[in-house]
Amino acid sequence: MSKRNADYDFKWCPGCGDFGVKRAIEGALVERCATRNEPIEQTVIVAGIGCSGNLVHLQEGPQPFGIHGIHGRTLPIAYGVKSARPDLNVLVVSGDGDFLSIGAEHIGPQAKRNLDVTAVVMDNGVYGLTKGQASPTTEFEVVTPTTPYGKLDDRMQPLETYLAAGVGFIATAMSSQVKELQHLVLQAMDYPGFSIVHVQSPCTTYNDTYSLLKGDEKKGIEPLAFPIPESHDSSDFTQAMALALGHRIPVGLLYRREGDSVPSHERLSRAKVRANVKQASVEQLLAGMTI
Amino acid sequence: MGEGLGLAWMAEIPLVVANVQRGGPATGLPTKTEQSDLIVSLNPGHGDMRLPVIAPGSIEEAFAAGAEAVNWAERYQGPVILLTEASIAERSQDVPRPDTSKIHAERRAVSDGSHGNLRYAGASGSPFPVPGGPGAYVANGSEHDEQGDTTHLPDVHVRMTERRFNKLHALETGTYEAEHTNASVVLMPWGGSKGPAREAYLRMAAQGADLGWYYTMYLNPLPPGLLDELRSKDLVIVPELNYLGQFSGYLREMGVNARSIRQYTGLPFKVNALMASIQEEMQTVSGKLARV
Repeated sequence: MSKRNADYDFKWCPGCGDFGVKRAIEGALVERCATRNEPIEQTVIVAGIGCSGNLVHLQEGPQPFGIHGIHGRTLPIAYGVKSARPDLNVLVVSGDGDFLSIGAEHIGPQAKRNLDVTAVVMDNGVYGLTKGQASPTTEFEVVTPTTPYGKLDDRMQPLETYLAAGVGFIATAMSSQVKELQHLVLQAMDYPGFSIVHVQSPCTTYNDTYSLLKGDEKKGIEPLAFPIPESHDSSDFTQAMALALGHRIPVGLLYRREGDSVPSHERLSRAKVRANVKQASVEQLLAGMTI
Repeated sequence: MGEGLGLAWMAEIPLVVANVQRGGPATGLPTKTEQSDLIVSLNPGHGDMRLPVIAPGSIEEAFAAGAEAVNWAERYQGPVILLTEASIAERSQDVPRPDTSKIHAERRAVSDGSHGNLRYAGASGSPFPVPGGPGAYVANGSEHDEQGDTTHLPDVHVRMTERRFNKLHALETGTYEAEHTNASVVLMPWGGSKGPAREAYLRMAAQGADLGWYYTMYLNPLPPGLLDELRSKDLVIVPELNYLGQFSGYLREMGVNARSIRQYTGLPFKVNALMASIQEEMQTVSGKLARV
């Protein structure tokens, strides 16, 4: 059930991190629409498969357009939307299971094209919707229903992947810090190119990492997440990579590439100018073939 | 590929896919021709669907077929397969200049917002809300209710499945060729086999053979009236370039007594050999009738 649709029968579990992400995205969109005087219908949310993708149905307040597609293909769909309609604001909502398994194959090409969309990736280290199987960000040798004798693959390092692929804007956040997340999503949407906001969004049912992320002084658990220090130069690739490869999880703006960022649709229109492409009528095309 | 086309069928997204058939499966015979993708064109993915298919049989037909495929996609708001084959797509040929005055571009009905966000309301289609305009909804590849929200309710799945199939009725506007329709045995090629089949038919007709001719490039949905005519025949002979006899199987499924002349060499039919095969098929029918 959602506020908009009483018949909608999908639910997130109590305490799910995705609630915080939903609130942050709602807030960021409201803020964006107000500052730019832009109708909410100018935004399209491309949703992946899994608990994260259901965010598109749970948005409260004024509704953007949405597309809930197929597993792993948020970026190709977003590429289609943005190429056909560069005027639209395109937001991808996805999870580690969707974005980093099948979906991982699309990160490289879209980063090199500099697709002008913002991907918000909700990482809970597990396939939650299908009941707790191992995902690319599940730890090595963890036992899950699909890895009964321990996971054989190493844990994927998403930040390292994004940096290596050439993503121009990379931020990380915690779902519990809604204000900070909202601010980062807004910044990412303003970035003229491919941007990713990677969010630690724990699954309270299958992989509850809240206390690991925040730490627990009484139990002597050091927090896994830490704020990126102010001394960090986010335009420095090497510094960003050093943070990405550490064992702890940095939170904040990790990397923003310096210099002009030419988005994919702009590259396409420049190529059209170079090719001197003119829209020809069918009659003109046929005339060119007449003998 | 199949999952994406399933998404377009489910979310009701207009698009045209041109499938140029060559020898398969896998990389198969990449430079040779075949007509072996009919089944996968009709049902490219998992689940209940049957996509519209237009298969031109000549260069001239290909011009009209391309335009009509776009019109179909716009009209029913879903994916359409334009099914051609290497022997057509890679052929250079002089043709009379197409009469463009006969081509009319159709555009989908666009939502003016009067239905709110109920994009999927109606038993057989509804106006399309364009992003940036009114009627924001979720285009959904999961089963969904009228506003595109995911649902698992049995009655909604029934309603929406029927809606998707009902939309195909809007495409029952195709035309077909029919000659010597009194004959009880008829020849009905499809796609690029039309050329050699036509040649064979004309030669046999000149020799006085009692053979009818049917042909259409609109394979799904078939043009209105065509099925009734075909069902009344003793035998519909389908020359086609595949092992399974895909088009005759499709016609048999709909109650037509169809049989294929199959060839799977990677090459088009040769007229003389095709005439001999048609003769053989005609004799089996007359032999059976004589035995009765």
